[in-house]
Amino acid sequence: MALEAYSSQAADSVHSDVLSEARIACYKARDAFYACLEKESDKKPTESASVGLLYPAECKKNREAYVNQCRPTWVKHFDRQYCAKKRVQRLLDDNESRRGV
Amino acid sequence: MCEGEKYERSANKGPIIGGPLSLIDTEGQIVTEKNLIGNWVLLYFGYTSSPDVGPAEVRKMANTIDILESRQNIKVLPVFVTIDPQRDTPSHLRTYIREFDSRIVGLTGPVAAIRQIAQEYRVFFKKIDEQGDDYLVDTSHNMYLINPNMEVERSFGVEYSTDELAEAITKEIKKSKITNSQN
Repeated sequence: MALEAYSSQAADSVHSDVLSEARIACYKARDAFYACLEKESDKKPTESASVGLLYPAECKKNREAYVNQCRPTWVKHFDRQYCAKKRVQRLLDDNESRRGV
Repeated sequence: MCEGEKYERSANKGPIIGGPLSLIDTEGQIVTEKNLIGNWVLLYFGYTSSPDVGPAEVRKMANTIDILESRQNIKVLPVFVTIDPQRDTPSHLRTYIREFDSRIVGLTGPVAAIRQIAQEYRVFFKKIDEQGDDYLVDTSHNMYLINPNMEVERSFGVEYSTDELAEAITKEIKKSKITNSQN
């Protein structure tokens, strides 16, 4: 029966990179990177992150630490979230200049 | 229950969701609906590789169970069914869940068994952002409140906070004439 076979064959390994300690380290590195983006927002974004997100060279070290600490799919997910948040902020801030459009 | 009665219920309350299940728990033991009957159950479909929503929902579930027990003297059995059985093996699921609350029953199994229960509960799940062995699973992260007769009473989305969830569950249980063997 499929269930018993599954139970006996399932690996004993654990993916530690999604457990609590790894998650917290990932979030910390992520927040440090995005904080850098905010801090250096006046610099020209020349480096490419993911999903079209660009960042200034000043944040390269933070980016490397972030990418090393988190799974690639997680990095993509958070980058996408950050871009969406920025887009909404831009729309809200730009309200005056788009009047009548 | 005869066929006629079943159709009557669905005409008033919408499609019947839920059904039998046959999965493996974190100790490698088979769990079926027979193991759940008699309990109020809070059933969550999620996966351990969720970057943010998953951990928040499991934390919410654990805190809600605590509140129900300590403040309302209501016992609800928390169950986590993975919609990523390939990576969420019994031993990995046990380690992940233990960090939140060891009372949460973790269930996994062969892909076909997971697909079956997901279909019964109308749970959408789909692999996205595949990069080799790494992928995310797009899903609603809904939680289902199931009564001691294994009938789904209602579902809750991520918009419910811990307090709101505890309050809503308390209301449903008090409203229901069905009591479980524990309450």
